[in-house]
Amino acid sequence: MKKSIEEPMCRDKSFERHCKFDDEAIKNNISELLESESFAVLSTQGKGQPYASIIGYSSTPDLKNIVFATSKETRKFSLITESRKVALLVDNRSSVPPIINKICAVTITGQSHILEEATDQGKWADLLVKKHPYLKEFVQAPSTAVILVDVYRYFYVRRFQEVFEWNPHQR
Amino acid sequence: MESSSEIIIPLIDKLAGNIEKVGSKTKNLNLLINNSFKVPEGFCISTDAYKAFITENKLYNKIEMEISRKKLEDMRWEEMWDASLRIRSAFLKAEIPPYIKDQITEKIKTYPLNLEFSVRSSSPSEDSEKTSFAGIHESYINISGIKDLLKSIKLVWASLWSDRAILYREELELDSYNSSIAVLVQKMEKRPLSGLAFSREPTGLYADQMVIEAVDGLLAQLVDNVKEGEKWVIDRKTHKIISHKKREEYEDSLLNEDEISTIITSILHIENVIGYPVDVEWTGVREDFTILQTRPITSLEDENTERKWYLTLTPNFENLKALADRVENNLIPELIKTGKRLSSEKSENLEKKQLASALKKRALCYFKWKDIYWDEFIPFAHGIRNLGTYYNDLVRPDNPYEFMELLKDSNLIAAQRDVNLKKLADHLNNNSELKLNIKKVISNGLNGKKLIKKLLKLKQEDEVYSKFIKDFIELLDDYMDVAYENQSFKDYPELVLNNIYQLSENPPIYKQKSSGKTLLDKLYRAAGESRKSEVDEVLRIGRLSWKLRDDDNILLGKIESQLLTYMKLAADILIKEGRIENGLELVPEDWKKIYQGLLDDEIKINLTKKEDETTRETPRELKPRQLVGQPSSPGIVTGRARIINSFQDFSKIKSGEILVCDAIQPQMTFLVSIAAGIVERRGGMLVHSSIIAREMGIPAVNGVGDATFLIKNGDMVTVNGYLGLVIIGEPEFNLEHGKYIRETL
Repeated sequence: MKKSIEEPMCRDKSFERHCKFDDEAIKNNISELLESESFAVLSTQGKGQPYASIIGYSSTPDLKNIVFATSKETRKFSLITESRKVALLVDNRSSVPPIINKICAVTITGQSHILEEATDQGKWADLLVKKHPYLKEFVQAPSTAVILVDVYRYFYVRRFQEVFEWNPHQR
Repeated sequence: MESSSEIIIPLIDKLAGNIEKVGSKTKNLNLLINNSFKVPEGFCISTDAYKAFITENKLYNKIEMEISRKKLEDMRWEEMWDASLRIRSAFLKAEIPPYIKDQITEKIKTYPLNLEFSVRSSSPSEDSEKTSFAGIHESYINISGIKDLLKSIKLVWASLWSDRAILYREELELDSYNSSIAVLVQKMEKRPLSGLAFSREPTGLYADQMVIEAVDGLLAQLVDNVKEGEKWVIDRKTHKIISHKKREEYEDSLLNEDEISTIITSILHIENVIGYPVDVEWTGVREDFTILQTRPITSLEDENTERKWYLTLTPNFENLKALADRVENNLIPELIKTGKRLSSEKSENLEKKQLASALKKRALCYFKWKDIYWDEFIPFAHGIRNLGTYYNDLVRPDNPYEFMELLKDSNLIAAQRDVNLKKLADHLNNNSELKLNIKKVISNGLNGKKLIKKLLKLKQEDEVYSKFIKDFIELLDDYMDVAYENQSFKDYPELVLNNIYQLSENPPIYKQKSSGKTLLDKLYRAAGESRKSEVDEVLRIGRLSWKLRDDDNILLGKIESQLLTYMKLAADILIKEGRIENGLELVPEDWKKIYQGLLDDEIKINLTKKEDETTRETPRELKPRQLVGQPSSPGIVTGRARIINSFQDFSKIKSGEILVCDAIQPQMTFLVSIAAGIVERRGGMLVHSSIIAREMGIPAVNGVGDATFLIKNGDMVTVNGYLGLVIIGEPEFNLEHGKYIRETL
């Protein structure tokens, strides 16, 4: 019995010769988080001033893209036209007890594209409306822009400070 | 807090039957009172009080931060102890809400001044018919005065998160939001006779028997093995005595037949009232017969053996004292003597039979000491933890590990070894030509005996050279004849020489002398003059335990090295005879096979083959960015990672690198001195690497699961020893700035 135990100060112990870390599990966590949450905080910037807004989003199954819509009169829209680089934050704060270690969050960096109505807006708008059916009229309004984010990287945070980085293009 | 919450519930109150409010222990006593049993007068501080205490002091988050900083199944026992110590420390520093304090104070005023109380845990989840969890939570006896009473209440609350409770978290359904604990406060009953009684034999093997134990004095003396008790085994049906074990050196018995009969009738009645076989703590006899507490008997038969063993690692102070005497006066001197005796014996030119006998002697010796290591040395390490809680209870420092400064004066074997290494490094620095030549020898890549031969050939006539080489060889004999991972450092002189060279290049800077003296004054002041000798004893045992914890590995490593040396000698013969393969790693457990092989030329020898480590896979797509462990030595440093996966990796360590390893043992702590930072898989504030890292001011983080898998050789790593974080890579955004090709759906 004794030999198999790794005692606090013991020298002969069973080394953990296998890696417990699970690549796939963390990727699934990211995927599930994006799927189960509906809203994200969008960070934009302009003239050195960061700005944050809340948005309803939808993501593609391969996690390479995120789509959202905004009215063209908004501050975030004009900031996107100034700088296409954006960051998004999705977290499960609202669905877990208020304990910091139970919160998972993912910071997403990427580049935004304002989609042209005539070309490829349709399928992206459909993806967004599928997750947020109540936004259908809003998305279809002429004053609304559909924004596509090409994701560079995901920074997944759990247990307050554990951070993993994932690039969805490196599959 | 709702105004309707009941804080103080008298034992005789109807509410004392509400298990959620008062816990099992109180509920059982309330049942006994209702059935006309005598129990010490007292009251319960309900679970509402605990909930108010942790809510108002915002302790929910503190508890969560501690118990879920990593997955509980990945936490080692020692890390649980650390978590528990921090929680305990936070509880001690938190204030009991005034309205609760007032109610307790008012209640105490109704009792005579200076009356002594027992303060016990009464948790809704303990003492159930399935699990008794005896000793999981704390109890305090002989408490008098409101100040000490309030402190004891806080400590009982904190014990809801004791290391032992965390170990049983699943069965206890421990959860910071839903778990609570009540406190049972009763008048101390100090009768001349006390004891235990089990309505059914507790091991479960003899269902038709019951057991009574008695002690002359307070029950705690029996439970803590301070006094020897008297024991009766009795037939449940006939009530006849089956066996009677008297106290040594006492002819008379503590209980007469009538008294035994009273106890038998009472406990069977209690079993009937509670509904399960019970374990009863009693005091007084005849008309004074009083029940202190009762709980269902749960058999430990199915208990996880690993956990059961862990529970033996916290001996009480009396046992710790006895252990200290044995360890200090008998075991350690004998272990040192044995190591010296074995290494002084000549191993050359032995006949096969002589070799077999020498091998057997070493193996029996090694395995004997290994058992002693497990059974005596490891439980003795509790002396450090005992000092920690003692110090924290009295001084209540901001840093719950402040007490470790008090341990620094211990003269560790590893520290003596490091002084000798430093002397050799200084010798190199004082003689540039010698240093240059040593550098050449190292870069030639010679190892083992070849390296020693080469050194001996270097300018024998020059005193500077010959002294260095003589001291180096002495160091190998005195301090490096210790085994680690089935290898002896003595067989790797190149590793030691490289270490000396690196030390000469980058001499380690030891932190200034500790503030141990100031802390000691603080401790004496907090304890008061009357407890000075108690402080001294706790401190003596703590320091001895600290020293032993480091030394025992080295001393046992010396005997293991002896065994391995003789196994190698024997293996060389067997290889020549073509009976075993060359190049197999020898493990001590195989000694018998080799021994038999030496004695019998016909016998087939199948040595244990080392398991293939092909499972050492690293993640492919995901990059760890920041890993969380324990802050085991303060400071922050960035450097390239050096992963230690095998003994050979030791010789690759260069000054300024971050050592990433599974576990650092005292045998190898000298290698730490040239590292800029340490990341270790094995966690705990009291592990060897933390000790040395703190003394040398090297930032260290331990308890980082999968550290050696997730970090790669050469990775840029930042060790944050203030917060227990390991940051891998630099905070770059190169991908975001690079060219990016848009993908379409």
